Amino acid sequence: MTTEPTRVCGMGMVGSFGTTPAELFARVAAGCPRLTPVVVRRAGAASELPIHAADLSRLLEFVPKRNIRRIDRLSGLSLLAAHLALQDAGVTLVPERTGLVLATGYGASRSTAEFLDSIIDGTDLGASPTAFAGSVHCSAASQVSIGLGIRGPTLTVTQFELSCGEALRVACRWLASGRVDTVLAGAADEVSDTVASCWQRLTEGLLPPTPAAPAPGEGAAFLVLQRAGAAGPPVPGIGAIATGAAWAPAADWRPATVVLGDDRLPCQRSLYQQALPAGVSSICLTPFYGVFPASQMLDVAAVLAAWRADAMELPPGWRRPPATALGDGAAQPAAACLKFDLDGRYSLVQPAFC
Amino acid sequence: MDSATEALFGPRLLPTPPRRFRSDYAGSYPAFELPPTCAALLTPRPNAALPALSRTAQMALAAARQALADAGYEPAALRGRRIGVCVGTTVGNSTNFENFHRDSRLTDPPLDPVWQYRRGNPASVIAREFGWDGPCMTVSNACAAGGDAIAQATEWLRQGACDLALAGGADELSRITYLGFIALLISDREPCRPFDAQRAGLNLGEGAAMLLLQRPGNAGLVPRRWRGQVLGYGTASDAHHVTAPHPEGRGLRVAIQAALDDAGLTRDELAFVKAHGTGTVDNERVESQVLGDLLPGVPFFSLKGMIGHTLGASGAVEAALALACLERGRIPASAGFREASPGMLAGPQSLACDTQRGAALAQSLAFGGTNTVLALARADYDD
Repeated sequence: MTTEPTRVCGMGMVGSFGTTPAELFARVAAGCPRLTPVVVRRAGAASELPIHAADLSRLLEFVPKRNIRRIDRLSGLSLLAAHLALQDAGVTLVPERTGLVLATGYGASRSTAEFLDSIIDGTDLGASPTAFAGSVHCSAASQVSIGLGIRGPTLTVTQFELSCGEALRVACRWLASGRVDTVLAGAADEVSDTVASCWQRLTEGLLPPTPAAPAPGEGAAFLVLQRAGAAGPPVPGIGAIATGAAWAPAADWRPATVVLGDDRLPCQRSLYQQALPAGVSSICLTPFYGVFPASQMLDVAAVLAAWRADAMELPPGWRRPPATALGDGAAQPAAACLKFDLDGRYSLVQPAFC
Repeated sequence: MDSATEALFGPRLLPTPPRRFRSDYAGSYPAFELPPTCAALLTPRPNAALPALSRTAQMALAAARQALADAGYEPAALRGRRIGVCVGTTVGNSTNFENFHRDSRLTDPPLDPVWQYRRGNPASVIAREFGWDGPCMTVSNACAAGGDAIAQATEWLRQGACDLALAGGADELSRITYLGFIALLISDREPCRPFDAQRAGLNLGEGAAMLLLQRPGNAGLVPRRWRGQVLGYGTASDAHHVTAPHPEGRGLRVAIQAALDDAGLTRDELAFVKAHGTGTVDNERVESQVLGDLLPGVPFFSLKGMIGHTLGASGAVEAALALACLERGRIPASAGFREASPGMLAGPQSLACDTQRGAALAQSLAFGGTNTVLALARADYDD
């Protein structure tokens, strides 16, 4: 377990629910996710698939329209969430003392497909250089660093469902090492035609044909992290992070709030059903932003947003803990966000007051 | 490792037309593919219950096994210890399923490529193979990924996240990246000429390297021999352009100084700088300027004239070779270089020579503007 208390001074999120925690919690409270049908073309035929599609129109608040045209969707998701996080934090970045770490499961799959199309539809000589440059996994992080002028360390982490825990750990370690004073730590994934068609094929016949069934999603969330200082009242932050091969919590492990990143897929049901000790209940937000590998950051951001003094009304089952400073003898974590990958490896992020 | 290092001081290795795929281009853009003799090192399916591994993952696993063997550590003896795995890659994470993408337009082709991708994350493959439960991370920082992986693992050890860490990079020669770099007009139809006045682009390569990192006196383990040291690192972003470096090397300058500071090294202690040196006009213009400004008189060279640009693996492959050169006390010539560009502040090493100094820098510049510099030293180097 890595315990590197780090405070979160801002957060931004983008998903099918909107671009604010209030919008997310409103949908959770109403039990009403927002799904958008997209056309999936397979084997020469077309069909509809509901997905959790994000709305990027607010990107215009931060990026000139002429520049948005040149930005791929994954970069757009990342930029919007990063801008919202900085706006929320209200901090002034020192470019050389700011780091950026981005977690993504699939990377820029739309740009990759666009590049493949340029070869398949023409000849090798028609390969699109723009699409190729955009298909590089770190292109979204580079767009964020360019857009926000971040000149410290920059890293893209790709570990599927474990990406967010590892990305947050990178951020906490950079801060602990003193290399930077602020880190924008985020995660993003997009739905592309490739993702949608593979989803449809992999889940055919396995999921109930109801609006509540799992659906692929896209989204992004960013946190603005700084070292936990000794002075001042405790603020929401990251208390501990752990990843590992086999999840085995102690029988007396009882966080006040547990958010499970349960994608509700048949192949992982048993992992999540057996994840918690007896008597520990959990919340799941994936029905309200969809299934994508890098979604754990949304869970973490949602918990932190719910803890703020000025937070909106919380959905049923959410509890706002007292502002207890880390290390004052609290017996249990205030919250835990848990996600598994296909191998059963886990990523655990425990928000805390720091 | 030994044969690869020996080759750096022999006749120049030359790229050849790709053997494993074809393209529509008349003639070819040559590349450095693994020789057929390396096929025996690759294991397509180490676990019969899981999909076959990609070539990238196979190379990563082969390099991991070599690293353990070189240290004299039996995998079984390492079970139960906290061992981290950090791998840099580019192709290893991409969804470049060309045939699947094409076939999907008319049919539902087998999902094998999807499952291979989904279960083939390079760091996860290694951790799963050896049953390790420490930090596990794949870094996708383009051409700096391998160096960044080593930097991350260094930080893990410093902060006590694990007892040992296997860190490096792997990337296969892929038809998609091959076509992509040609489309960007930065591939050379001839053997590349890093830092040369007539340089016209890069040659792609493929490969993998893993460093087994350990703090001396830690974990009750002593390797057969210590191969070198990672004294520190520096990393900084240009925040300038998605593919081109900052024209004044803004991020590289910061990264070099940060690496020196982190390692406690001065310019006078450096035997050489292992440059990024891709053979492209922009990269070498920036690198030579920065090295001439910050480290005048320190020899530097590119290895890509001998092994090609191994993309996400390059930061690790070239760091490993740099360590091997320090171990031997020899600086290789920068293959492909004949004449410096007018105005270039400094030219690379044109002839191999001996060195008594025990430290070096190994730097990588990536698409997206990441600059990562590792500070390396001989095993017995003590400043």
